[in-house]
Amino acid sequence: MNAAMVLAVNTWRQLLRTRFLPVVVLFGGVLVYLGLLLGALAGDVEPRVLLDVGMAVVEVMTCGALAYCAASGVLLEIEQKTLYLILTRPVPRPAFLLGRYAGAVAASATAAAAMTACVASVLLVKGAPAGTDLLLALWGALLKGLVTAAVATLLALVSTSVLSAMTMTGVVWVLGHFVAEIRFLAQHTQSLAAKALLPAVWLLPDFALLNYRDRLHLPGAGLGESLALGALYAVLYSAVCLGLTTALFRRREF
Amino acid sequence: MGCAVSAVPALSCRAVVKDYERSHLGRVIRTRALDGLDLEVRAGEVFGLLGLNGNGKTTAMKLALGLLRPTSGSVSVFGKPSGVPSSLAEVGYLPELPYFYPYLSPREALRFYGALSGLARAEIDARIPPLLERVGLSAAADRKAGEFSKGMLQRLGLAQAVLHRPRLVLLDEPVSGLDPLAVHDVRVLLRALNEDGCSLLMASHSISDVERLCARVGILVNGRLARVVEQKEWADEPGRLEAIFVHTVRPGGARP
Amino acid sequence: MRAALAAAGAAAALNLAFSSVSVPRLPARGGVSLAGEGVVAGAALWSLGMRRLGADLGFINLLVYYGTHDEDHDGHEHAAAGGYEDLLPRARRIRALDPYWSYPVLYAAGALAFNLERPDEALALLDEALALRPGDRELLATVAAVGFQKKGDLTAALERLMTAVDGPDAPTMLKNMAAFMNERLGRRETAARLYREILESRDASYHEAAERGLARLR
Repeated sequence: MNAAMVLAVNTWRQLLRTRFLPVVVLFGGVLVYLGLLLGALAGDVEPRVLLDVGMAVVEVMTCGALAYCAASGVLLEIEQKTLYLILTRPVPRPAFLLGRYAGAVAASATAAAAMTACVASVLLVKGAPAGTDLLLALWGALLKGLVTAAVATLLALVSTSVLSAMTMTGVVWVLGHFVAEIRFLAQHTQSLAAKALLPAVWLLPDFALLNYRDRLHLPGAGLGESLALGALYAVLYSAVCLGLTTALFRRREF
Repeated sequence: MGCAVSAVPALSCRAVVKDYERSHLGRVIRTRALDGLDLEVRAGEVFGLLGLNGNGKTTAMKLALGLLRPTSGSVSVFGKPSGVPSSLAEVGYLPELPYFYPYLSPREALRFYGALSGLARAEIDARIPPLLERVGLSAAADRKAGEFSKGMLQRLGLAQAVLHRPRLVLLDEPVSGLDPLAVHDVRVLLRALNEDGCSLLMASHSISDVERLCARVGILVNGRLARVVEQKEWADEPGRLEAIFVHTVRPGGARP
Repeated sequence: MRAALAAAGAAAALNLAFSSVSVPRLPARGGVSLAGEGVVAGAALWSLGMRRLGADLGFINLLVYYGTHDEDHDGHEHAAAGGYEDLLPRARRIRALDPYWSYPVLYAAGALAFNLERPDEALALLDEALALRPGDRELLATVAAVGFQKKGDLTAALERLMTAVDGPDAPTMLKNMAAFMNERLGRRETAARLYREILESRDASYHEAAERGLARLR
């Protein structure tokens, strides 16, 4: 097993043994089942409400968990000095980052799948199996999670604390959902300050590309080219973030 | 636990300068930790490093491990630049306070670190039992490290440092916080390692341990190697190394 | 610094390349009104990429608004001509969040036209929805039904409404309306079929009315 794989497995094990991910799944599952209360008010559209509430919970919990895992993973290793016994072995520094990242993504994907199973069970009980809608929404959540984790890993290295890294990641996550609107406003505003910020907007991840959950049943939504392009975008954007993180981490002293 | 002996120095520091920089209110403040360090650990020897707190012992070790980069000068391990994977493969490290993941047992931790050192699973599993026996952790092999005392963590630290049979082991305060029995066991283990051909660099405040184990001792003062003392200079006179040390680090003291 | 600039350039280039990629998106500049109840929640959910959920919650709010405002309601058969002034704005806010979701449009248009006797508001809402989905059968049928109802031609209105209620997204409320209109026109079998379908639907608020309808038809 190469070093990155060893670290990924260790990260996965860490997140399970420290009960972080089981708590995320439990909390997410509770929220999904609480969605039944909203669904009861929705009449004919109960299945849609259950799906939307459930998969929104899955996405928020998955991305939130990944932001925490990615932000805290490297910072806590540095703070607790468990990093020393890793970097003093023949482990290339990029392999350390990649391994932690991959482990966090794998563990969070497991949690997301478990929470999605809760959503599926709710829909099944209500006589409305969701089929591909559920899988599309899950796919979008996982792709957003990839990007979120990469952004959080980068911000963890440039910030001073887990809290600030997570806060900045949260801001990027929110802004990333309406970059098209921000670009439009910045282009049409008279404010010089807003126009000066426009280049920075082009750096933000465009989560609308990955927002399959919000595009279910739109004309031409979800399948084929859109899925492949979304995945490509998520992988490339994450690679850019991780590439910069690696460059910074190589130069870091401990 | 065999290590091969080589003619190339195990560790070589040439004119090494290390400055720490930090920003404060827009100004950059530099602190010089090492000021032209010339240090050589010969292959197969046990070299002790003594010095007051803040005189560069840990900095020198971290430079050898690639955790720090020299501001100027060069550091090499068996002729290879420090910090690259090929030189790290030759090195084992016991930090002053070894930290382990609290949810891992010694067995799991050694499997993890052994895999990171490039050992195959079967090989790691074969090495673990005798190694844990050697460091006195057989009974706690499957307990979580989070439950361990400082002494047990130190023993586990030693185990992970030598699991992959490195040719050079760097030990930062290896007996710090250990009870006398543990100190004895560690000394026996280190002596055995060296007899197998391993080079050791040992930074310590315990002059008595350094006296017992080391062939040569370097004394760091203000980031420079002020003096290198050969074993023959203290071997026949108990307490003489301490006197040499005090004279070296305290300016104006009487030369012993 | 070089690495940071390279990464920034790569991210910007990536976003530029993908900005021209044609993926289905909700309209970026659909004007979300800043007035009215629930707008903060809607805006918050929009900013978290949950426009659909915002629309769902908006529709639940609309159901609660329409379902509890007038306590004399009796399955909507005797709704007052006035009242529920906020019904159209609420439906428009739902559309702003999820413009492709026809169900709230059909529900609100049906309530406006057939219960509250405000067919012009219903037609305005339907026209806005049709602008995005010009071929939508249920919307078109409802427009026709409202049009005929406005002219007083109940039979023609009902024929068009039946086309709408047979669709998969037809609100139970419209079905209830159609059942009642069929009952009034003496089409007992059609009315009974519709009442039975209502009893099998998820919208329990019409079950009692459907049971009463079936009882009348026996």
